[in-house]
Amino acid sequence: MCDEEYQTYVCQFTDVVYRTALNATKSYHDAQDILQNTFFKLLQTDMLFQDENHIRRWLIRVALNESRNLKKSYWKRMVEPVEDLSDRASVSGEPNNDLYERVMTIPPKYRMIIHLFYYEDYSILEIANLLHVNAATIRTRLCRGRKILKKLILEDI
Amino acid sequence: MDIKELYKDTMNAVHTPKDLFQDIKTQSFKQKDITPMKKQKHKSLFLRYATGTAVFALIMTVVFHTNFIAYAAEELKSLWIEITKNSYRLTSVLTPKGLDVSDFTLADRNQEYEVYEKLFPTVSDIAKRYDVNLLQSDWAYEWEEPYTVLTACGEENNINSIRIFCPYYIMGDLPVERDAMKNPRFSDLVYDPLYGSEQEAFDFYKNYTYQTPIYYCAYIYESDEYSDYKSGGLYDVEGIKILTYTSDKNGVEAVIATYPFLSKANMEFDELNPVTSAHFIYDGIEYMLKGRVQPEQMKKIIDSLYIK
Repeated sequence: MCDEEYQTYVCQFTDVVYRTALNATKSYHDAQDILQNTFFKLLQTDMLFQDENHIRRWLIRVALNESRNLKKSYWKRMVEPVEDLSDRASVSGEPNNDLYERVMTIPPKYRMIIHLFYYEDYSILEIANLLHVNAATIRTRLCRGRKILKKLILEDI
Repeated sequence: MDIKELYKDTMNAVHTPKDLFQDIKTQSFKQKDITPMKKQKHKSLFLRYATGTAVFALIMTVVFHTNFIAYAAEELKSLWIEITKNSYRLTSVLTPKGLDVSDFTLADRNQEYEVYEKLFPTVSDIAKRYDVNLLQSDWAYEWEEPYTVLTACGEENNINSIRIFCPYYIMGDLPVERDAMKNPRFSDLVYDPLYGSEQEAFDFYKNYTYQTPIYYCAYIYESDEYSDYKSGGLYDVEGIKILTYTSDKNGVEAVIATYPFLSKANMEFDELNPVTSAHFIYDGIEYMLKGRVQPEQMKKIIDSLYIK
């Protein structure tokens, strides 16, 4: 991959990967680690990407795998996190900050599906493939997650 | 109020820290100057011996136990097609005679589909109500609480798929703890640390034949187009082991998959208490049974099934 290509991908997809990692880990520091690892893997890969969607999906998949590996690591098992969402340095000063923190309180199994469905516009089957969960379960979780999200949004308004 | 737009706006407010963004941008230049340092591994003699023995054992296992082979996604799909090649899909249950959602709850609606739900105490109640030949087991727990959910997907006048799901179908030798089973539709009977489990009602380390209940899923699709399971619900997860089983009792031809899932105690893959799932089509209906039992027990469960 040439530098120009890499730079283009970084500009296009950094936020996408960061938001996915944040959703998966709920920790800004972990999300940043995952972000760096993901783009490092992009540098190392010799995969030929067909189009923008292909690389976007690849990056999200790698980010999800990285977050899974992080949770399995000895460090994560043994160490209590000091910060959770208290470090708000990465979130710009926008009116919906509180809503973002509330969204992060959605249980993780619904949160990631909501993110992939609503934000990344993936279909149910694509999400099932990404997360290795069957599509019927995805539908059920999406339904539950929507209810929780709706309740959170209504509380905010 | 559009939930999707509100959610998107919320997430759009999240940005990568600027210094990190710059760091990542310049990562490619740094790569040219820095040669990755190889990790030096110092293995003890014992560790080398143990590793060699493990590799030898793995090779022997692969060579002599061809039923247990790591499968890739395409192979799983081919296996599913092969095992179900003589099966057909039941669609008559979706005719107006079979299903009327007017007394169902609308659980979800979006641009892709509508989801209707209705609760029943048991699978047997559904089979009687809709006159559907569902495979059932005498080992099924006779619940009085509404723990079985029938979900219908599609549009109100055009349902194209239904799913019958009971998370506590067979309790086996597990103690029945009703307080722990308050929200069965939320339950994940196996612990997935990435996504969590809202109830950890079952201990995988107690000395039971069943470490979790067996959950029962039956799917009926109007056509293959609506099937979620191009490979029968089999996924190429890490460590999956597959075997095929044909029951002498009822003729069910199933794929039995075993997953050494992550254990909740120490976040390691749990080989001793695997998740086992059975996937098959019988009489036009697609089934999945799943829980933490050994594969041999799952075979017995398959044998216990019959049309009541």
